[in-house]
Amino acid sequence: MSALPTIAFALILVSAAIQAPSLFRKDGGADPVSHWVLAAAFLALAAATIDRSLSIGFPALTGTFESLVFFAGMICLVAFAYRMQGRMTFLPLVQFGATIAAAAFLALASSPIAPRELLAPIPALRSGWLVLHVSLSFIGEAFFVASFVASIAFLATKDEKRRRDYDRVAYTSIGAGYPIFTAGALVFGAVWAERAWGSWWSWDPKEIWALTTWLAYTIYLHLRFLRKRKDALPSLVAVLGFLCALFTFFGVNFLLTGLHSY
Amino acid sequence: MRKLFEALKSVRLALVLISYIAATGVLASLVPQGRDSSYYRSSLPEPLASVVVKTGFSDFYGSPLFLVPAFLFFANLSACSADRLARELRKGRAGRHGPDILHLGLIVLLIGAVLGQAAKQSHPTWQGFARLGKGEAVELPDGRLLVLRSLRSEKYPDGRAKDWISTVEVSEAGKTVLPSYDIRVNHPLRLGPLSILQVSYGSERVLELEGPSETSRSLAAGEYIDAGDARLTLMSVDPDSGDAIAREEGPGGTKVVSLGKGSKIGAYVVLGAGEAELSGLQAAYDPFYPVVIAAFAVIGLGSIITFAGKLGELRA
Repeated sequence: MSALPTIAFALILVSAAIQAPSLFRKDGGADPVSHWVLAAAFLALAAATIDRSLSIGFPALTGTFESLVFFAGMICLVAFAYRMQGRMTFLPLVQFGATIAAAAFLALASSPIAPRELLAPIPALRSGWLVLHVSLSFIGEAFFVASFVASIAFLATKDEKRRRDYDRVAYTSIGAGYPIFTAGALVFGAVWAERAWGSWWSWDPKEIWALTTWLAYTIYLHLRFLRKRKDALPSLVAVLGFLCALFTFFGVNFLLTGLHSY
Repeated sequence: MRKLFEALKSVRLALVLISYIAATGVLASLVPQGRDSSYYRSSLPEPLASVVVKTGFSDFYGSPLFLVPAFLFFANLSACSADRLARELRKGRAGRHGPDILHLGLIVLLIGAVLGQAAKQSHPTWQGFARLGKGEAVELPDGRLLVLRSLRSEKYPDGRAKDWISTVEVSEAGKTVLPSYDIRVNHPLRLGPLSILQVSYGSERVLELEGPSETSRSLAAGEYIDAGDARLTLMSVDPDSGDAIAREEGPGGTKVVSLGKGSKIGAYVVLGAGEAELSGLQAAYDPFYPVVIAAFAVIGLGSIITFAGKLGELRA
């Protein structure tokens, strides 16, 4: 069972290889297989998470390796759902970008920054609120991956029709990810913090960066909802928002110290 | 007044304030907060250290650099929400109140946060930490007495800690008000606005004493025992020999004494060194936490309604 993340990684690379030629097709058509390979990768990662959870007797979401495996799985699922939906124009570059992101996070999971040691969580991490906090944060961020790729693509193209399509994908992804991220990162995080540390907000670096991420996407939504802006500014903010999300996870964990240093 | 409201309800102002709070928050996360000015002068280049100390950036969240924009943001959010709600009601679009509810939740959250912070600052002694051994008691800030009846550490098969549990009893004016409650990590005891949390667990070297009628007690470093006119405060215990060093204060002055096995302290006889398990309990005070929880519920409701509305628009 410990080979499951490796199998998933291989599946993701296979999916990326299948998708690559469609990026150069003029008609924007998609291959019929790659998303099913991504679905298989998701199932492998879900099985890995369940297997580890059973081994340690607690949802396997409390370590860096486990978080990255879960995050990569969720990105695969979002990419699969994007391919399956019929409301928005399917843009192969968005699926490909998300696939590469999933591969990158899984590659990090196998690096020395994410020890694979099978360890049950310390007392402070044994909380249902923590499980909700971590899982919903990563599910929200999986949608932000799609918005990040779409926003980069928006900024890179001059074609107005393409821009509209990328903008719609970014807007919809953030619209879906934002409430989930709000619930996970901020609300359930605060509830857990109050029960673990006695204070629901402590201006801890992790909290500050999660709030900054949330504020960036709040700015994005207000630019889109109220000011109806469809120029480069919302896309720039979406890119910045995802970079903040990345720093919240990696930067704070490895460069800053605080209450979240477990 | 109208002009002020017009200025305050500006979405542009909201975006500027949110951007400012986000950008300065990021900078504040990179500068260690709440340190002495000498720390910044020794760890940062002089011009930067001066800026950090003089602008109040060393205590960013308590400084006008944060508090003024945060207050402006609160006023802006309130004005935007009132204006938006009035417009929606005028148009008769009752089904589009998701953002209004979401904004209301944020306003309530900010009020709860400010009131909670003010309450904490006005009751600084209502928060604290105590390490208790079995049978020991601590007086809570509200006057009640918390007694640690038992403590235990649950372990995984590999020996690592799984949970720490303190069974406590709470009494008030000599009357038991809570006979038994298990405080676990992440499962605090709630006593009105006061929460008692299990935050640590450990053991400490103590001096074991045997009293009259085979009663026994232990003494940790810093604890004292009265022996006649003198008071002996334990300073340290040698783990190998079991001998202890104590400070004796009495009518004859203060002196340091050595206590070996068999030494007598009043009615007690020293048995030697031992280990005592201690539970680390923390008291936290926030009478406005229920307001925060209510705000979260309102934010959740607003988010769901907003999201459902937007989803409907997309489908259309």
